[in-house]
Amino acid sequence: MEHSHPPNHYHHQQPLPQPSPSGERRNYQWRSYKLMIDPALKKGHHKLYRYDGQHFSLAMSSNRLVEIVEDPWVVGIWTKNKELKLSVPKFKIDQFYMGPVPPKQVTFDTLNDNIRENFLRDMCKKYGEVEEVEILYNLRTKKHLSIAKVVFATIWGAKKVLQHLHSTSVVGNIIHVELDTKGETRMRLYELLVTGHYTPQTLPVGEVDAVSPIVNETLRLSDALKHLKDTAYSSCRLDTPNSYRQGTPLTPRLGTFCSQDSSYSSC
Amino acid sequence: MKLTDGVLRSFRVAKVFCENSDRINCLDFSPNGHSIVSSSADDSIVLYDCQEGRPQRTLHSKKYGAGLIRYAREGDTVVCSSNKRDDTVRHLSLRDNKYIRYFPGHSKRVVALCVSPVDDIFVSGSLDKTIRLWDLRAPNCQGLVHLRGKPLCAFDPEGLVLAAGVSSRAVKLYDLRSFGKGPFATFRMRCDKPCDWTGLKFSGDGRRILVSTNGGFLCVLDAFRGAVLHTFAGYANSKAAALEAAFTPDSQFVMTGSEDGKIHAWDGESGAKVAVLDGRHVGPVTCLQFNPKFMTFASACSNMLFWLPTVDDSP
Repeated sequence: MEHSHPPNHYHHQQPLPQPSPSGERRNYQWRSYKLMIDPALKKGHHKLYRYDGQHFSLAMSSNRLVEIVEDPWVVGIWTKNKELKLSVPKFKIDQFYMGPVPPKQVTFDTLNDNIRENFLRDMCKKYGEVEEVEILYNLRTKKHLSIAKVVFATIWGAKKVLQHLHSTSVVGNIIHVELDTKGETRMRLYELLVTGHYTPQTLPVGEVDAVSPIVNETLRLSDALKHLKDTAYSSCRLDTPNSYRQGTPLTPRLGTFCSQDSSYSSC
Repeated sequence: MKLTDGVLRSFRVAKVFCENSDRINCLDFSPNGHSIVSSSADDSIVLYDCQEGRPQRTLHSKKYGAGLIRYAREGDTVVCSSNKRDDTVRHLSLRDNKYIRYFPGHSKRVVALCVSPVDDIFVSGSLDKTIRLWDLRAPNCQGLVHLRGKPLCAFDPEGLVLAAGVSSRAVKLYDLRSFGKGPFATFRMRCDKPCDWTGLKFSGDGRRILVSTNGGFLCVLDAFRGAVLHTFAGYANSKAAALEAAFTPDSQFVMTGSEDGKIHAWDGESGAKVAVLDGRHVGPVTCLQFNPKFMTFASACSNMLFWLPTVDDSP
């Protein structure tokens, strides 16, 4: 206790004032109280206050004074949590994403158009845990576009699939596999296919810098759209309807983040 | 993944959110680590999903403002203090965006708020120099302690002990059962530099108490004997801002935000400096908390940043 109370107050049998909810009167007869019985919690009872551990607002046979105040901790109840293992959450790569994106995503091109998601997933999971597989279809014509997105749980899974499947024959087609960390290559290929400039057979895979004025215009337009989304304050709340609309537009007001040395360990 | 020096040093910003137009006052992780709730000086409460890392909802609190905010034990509702109109603490349902209960009583601004990890009780501390104990189920104040000065409060991980920082000079420990009688221990601290205490936290194993100040240093105390085990300094705070500091969930490291936007980390056992992380915050890092259940932490100025380690688990 911080203050000693004038003892004569306690010898008078005055009922001590009840604390009221809207600002107690500052009085010097008690410093602290505990509400031992709250009728809001224990139906059918009256309010019972214990002041300074010593005095009760109602005389009840069950009233006990606080005699000793001691540390309630029991020796040995602490668990050792230095060995605590925490799992890393899998944040979605979206417009809020910053920093180097772990290269866990690959794009498949020139797939045989009979290949479905299950086939692709089974083929990839030999190389590492697969998080996501998506075959791209033309939304309007529902046609199989021969390109797919595969996201692995680990960096080495993506590396291995590249080593083992790129330029190999799958169901009769030589497939092209490349690392596509933000899905930008895949988005470009998708645009080329849906705008009708190319077909899955004529797609210039591996020539991402194809110099065609139409292609460049499409790319510039899509970049401009990205920046538009950027500056709108509510852009952060827009839903991403299609999987290919990924990328991390840097909002200018944040300033540039320092280039981060990505110390990815790989096997 | 186990948190080590190397893993902590590898943390980089993974997500940036600019949902607020003003400073973020307070942030709190839900007990299961799946969400974060934050309050801002722009009178909004923003909820984030920490699994995928995206904003989930924004609730507006134009009438009462949004001061301190803490999740209640079950993780569905929050208690929050107002910074306008009155000093009532409110229990808010996040799902329905409706107030469940009001807790009136304080006559000045609430500057401390902590929720019991085991019971439906919480404690608020105010500039009216009192600490009040409340039960979420009833509006009546369940306990009151008059103190000499501005209070801070923290529950120990078992929910048995309430630590109160008083007048930036002493830490008093109260047993909740004998609440109202007086503290069972008082640790008086002598600081060379006069400054204000801005935060009080227990480590996850209950063995340490972290005192953060606005004077550019932190103190780590032995929670049983009150001895100052470490004083950590060397980070910028020339404007005496309230910068939040936190323990990591394994109780091993201590981290604090800094005025220049960086985050400093020390080994809480050896006292060695472990890392200085630069997330390029646009202002002082006023809020910082490590996720209690996952390998990620959040820091905030007027933007909210989520951090991830960049070392990969090899097979």
